[in-house]
Amino acid sequence: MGRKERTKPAALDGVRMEITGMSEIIFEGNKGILAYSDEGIMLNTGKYIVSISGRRMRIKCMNESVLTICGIISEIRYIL
Amino acid sequence: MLSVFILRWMFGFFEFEVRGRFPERFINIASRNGINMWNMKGSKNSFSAAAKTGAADTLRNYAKKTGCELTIQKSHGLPYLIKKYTSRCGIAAGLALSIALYIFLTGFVWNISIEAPTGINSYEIRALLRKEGIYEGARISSFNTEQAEKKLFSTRDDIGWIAINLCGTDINTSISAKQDVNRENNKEIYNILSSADGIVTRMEIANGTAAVKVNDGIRKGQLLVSGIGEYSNGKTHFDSSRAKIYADTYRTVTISIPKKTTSTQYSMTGQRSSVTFFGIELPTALFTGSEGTIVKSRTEQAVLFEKILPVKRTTELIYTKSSKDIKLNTDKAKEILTDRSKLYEIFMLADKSGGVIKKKSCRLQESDSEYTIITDYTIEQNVAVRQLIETDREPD
Repeated sequence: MGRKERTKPAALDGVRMEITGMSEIIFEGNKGILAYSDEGIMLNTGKYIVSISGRRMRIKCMNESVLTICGIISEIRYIL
Repeated sequence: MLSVFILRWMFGFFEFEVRGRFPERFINIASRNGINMWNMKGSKNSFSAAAKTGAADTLRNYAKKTGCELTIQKSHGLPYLIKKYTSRCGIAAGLALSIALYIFLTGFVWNISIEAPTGINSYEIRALLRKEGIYEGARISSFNTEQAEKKLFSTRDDIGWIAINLCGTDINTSISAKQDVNRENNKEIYNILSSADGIVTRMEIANGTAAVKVNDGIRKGQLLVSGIGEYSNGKTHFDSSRAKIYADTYRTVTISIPKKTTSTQYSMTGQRSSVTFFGIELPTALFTGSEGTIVKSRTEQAVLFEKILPVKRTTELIYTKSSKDIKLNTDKAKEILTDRSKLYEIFMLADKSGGVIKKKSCRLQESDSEYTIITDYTIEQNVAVRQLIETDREPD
């Protein structure tokens, strides 16, 4: 009662995606890039694959598990 | 975002391109080993990105392991800039020297500005500041502004408030004059008398009982406002009279000039200039004036980007006096006499606060030896003069 609900950290849940409009995604829980081109990025999360398609896609910055994807995003698919 | 760019620039970064069959493997290995990459643009079998300077060798190893080829395209940032200019000793020395010079020069006072009200001479204040060790070129650490404030405050009676502020290398001094506190004893009784003959034109009475009215003719010394008044019930009251009584006064002024006169002329015979740097004067031309010369000086302060620099150029123009006997004609005499009477008017009105010349008529007279201009003035001026009434009597 009265306690603030806190978002679970990505490490516990596996994957966390923050989508800004259709131009930027901050992706947490990446375990490896499977494919990377101008038109799409496929990311391995361990349990499933996330495929992000669009145009002029690029990784703005990346470290061990977090990456920021920019471009004109048209589709996000989960491949089990 | 700007701060991130500045940090990246300071530590240095490079842009590279990776070519191979599986560049994604390269990205995964690099990111798993904690190498941050940004601006990654992918295309078929290749991608380009940027990474920090120190990661170049590690990335090359990962490229080799994954069967890719890594090419460094561009290097950015401070470490590369330093590397580029290390071989050019002159630039490094110049940079070091300019930084050292900057640090050294900011330890001195560059400029002193004084904001003083009328009545307080800024040159005197400057001299007092100099006594306290505050002058252009003084080391900032060698004086204490608070102590100087106290000293100046105690030295000068006319200073009501003083602030000496050190702003960077500038000293800003703000001074307020001491307010005249009216310490007049309210028990003292004053009358107001006339200081000249004339006709009253207007009266502004703050205290006291009027003894004259507008359009009355008055004589010098006549009572204008009385400090002793009477209530309607017949009781007497005493006042410290305060009033401004304006009256038209009359004055005739005669100014003469001999027909044969000596004219003094000054002609420029030389010029000398000097440069003052941090209060130290360095003459740029050696020229000394002889007897009968006067010097007119002009100072120009160096200003760069609205910042006053501690460099001044002083130019002194040297004029030599020469006299010539001349005989005046009527026109020239009239011109000279008119100028002199104008000068007289300026000084005469300066004496009389709020005095206005309402009417003036002048006539030129010529005798054998001189020209004379006689001017009749009608001046409206405040003729009120306060006079203390000596009395032991207490009001009813």
